[in-house]
Amino acid sequence: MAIGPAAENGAMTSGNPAPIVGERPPPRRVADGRVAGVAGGLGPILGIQPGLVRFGFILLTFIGGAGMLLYLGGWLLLLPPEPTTTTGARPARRPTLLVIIGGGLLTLGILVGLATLNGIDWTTGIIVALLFAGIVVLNRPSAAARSRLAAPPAPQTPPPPQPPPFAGPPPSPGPAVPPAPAETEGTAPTPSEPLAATPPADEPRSAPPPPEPLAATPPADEPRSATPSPEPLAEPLAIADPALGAMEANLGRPIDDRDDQGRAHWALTRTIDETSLAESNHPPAAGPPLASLTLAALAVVTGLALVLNTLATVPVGVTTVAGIGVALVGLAVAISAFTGGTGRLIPLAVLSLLTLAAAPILSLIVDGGAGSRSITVTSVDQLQSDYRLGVGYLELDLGRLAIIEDTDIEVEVGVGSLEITVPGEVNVELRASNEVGSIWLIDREETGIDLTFTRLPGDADPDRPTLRIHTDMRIGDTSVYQRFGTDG
Amino acid sequence: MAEPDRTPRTSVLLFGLLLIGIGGTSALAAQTGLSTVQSASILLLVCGAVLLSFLIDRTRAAGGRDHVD
Repeated sequence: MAIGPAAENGAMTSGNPAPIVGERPPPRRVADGRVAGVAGGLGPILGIQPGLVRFGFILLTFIGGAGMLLYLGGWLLLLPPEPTTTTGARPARRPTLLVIIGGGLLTLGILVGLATLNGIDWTTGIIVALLFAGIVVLNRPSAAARSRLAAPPAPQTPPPPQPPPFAGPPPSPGPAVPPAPAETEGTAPTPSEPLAATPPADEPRSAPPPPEPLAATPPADEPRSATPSPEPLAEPLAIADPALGAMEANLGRPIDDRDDQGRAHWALTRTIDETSLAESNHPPAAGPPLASLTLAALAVVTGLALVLNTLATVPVGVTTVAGIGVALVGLAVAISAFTGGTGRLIPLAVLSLLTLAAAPILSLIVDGGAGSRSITVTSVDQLQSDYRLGVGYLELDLGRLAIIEDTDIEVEVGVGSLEITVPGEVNVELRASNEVGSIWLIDREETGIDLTFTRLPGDADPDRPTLRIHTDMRIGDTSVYQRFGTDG
Repeated sequence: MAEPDRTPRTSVLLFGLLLIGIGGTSALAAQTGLSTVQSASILLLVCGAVLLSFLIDRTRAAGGRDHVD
């Protein structure tokens, strides 16, 4: 429905931002959604039922888990739901965002300081930086808030325009507008209709284009004719009414005729309604800012765990922190059952659960790092009891290792590939477990989920020492080869 | 302005309690080395004790009001 936005008609005279009359409404989440209103918001955009979108999310969640990430992305991209009421001004921007950013920077600073002093792993710093980046993204201002912050301060919004009275003579002669031919698409008043109908003051501002008769009461110095003029619509609108001025300013051009005036009135009304909507983008706070408080608590717990780990007083693992995070979010969700505001906590709940699910891998990344490593061990002195890698490729060559007694080795990899070469002159006992992936142990292969594969030396020579290797892979492939001789 | 509805949403409350259970159990198991079942049992015991204490206090308060009234 094109109503002739001012942007098409020239520059605004009042410096107001261009009205968004006639534009497609921005994509929003819905307030009455099943979870956070993402499916309800995406359905109309995609032109399908929200139930189908919801089904797609569920399906993708069970097929690879992408549904949760897509849902989270939708929550981040879509604007918050439209407020159901516009009573009260939008609460001021939460200072918690600044607190979190400041806290994050402070934590990073402490981390850098501790790294300088104690030499902690930089992977930890990267994880913390990512964590706080996620927090900042989650707390980003809405699009309306951004546009409001970016826009220059708008002049005082004119009072809600009453439907133009158009009655009474103009206090000063306005520009003479040539009379336009009357349009009679059912809007022309019949002679029985009043000529100067002033709608009641409590008429809603967002009323549709006013079908009410527009104006044209003859000036007071003219004798009111006993019979209505048959062509009141052709009356020149030389009215210097403040509302008319605002309408002309909004429209960006003079108002020509009565219908034009009606459209301008509606456009101005819509503009002011949109402005009011943007100002009250979020509904009035229904309770405490649980999401912000939860984020702050998560930041505190994470920072505390890092400090405890760094100081080595109480080792706190990634799984512990992730579990506490889930419990904190759960506490906030439980409180929101009484106070409201559950919608903003749902993404936090999804994120915290994903973090908890990925905690073993994250723990490995923190402890073992990431990348491609190739380790060759030729003497017992070089041999470690355990090897760990978070993400990447680990090659452990023990083919030239000569052991004189039974030896145990633990190898743990989060995501990636593990390749071990064992010597052929010893008894080799292998125990491999993969959560997802494949296992190749010398001469046998298993592929699937939650694999545990043990290979005992079938013809163990009691005179030879035994090399026991236990591998633990979360996601990836484990391969163990045996080398006979020295040339490989 | 209308008074907000203070009736708790049962599904949201249960979801929150479920998250508390999952997170608490995981954290306890990871930190103490206990098994998941042991951790969940401890968590249930603690939560049950807290809930019982809360209910006892509430019952006492209600009894006091009845007595005064």
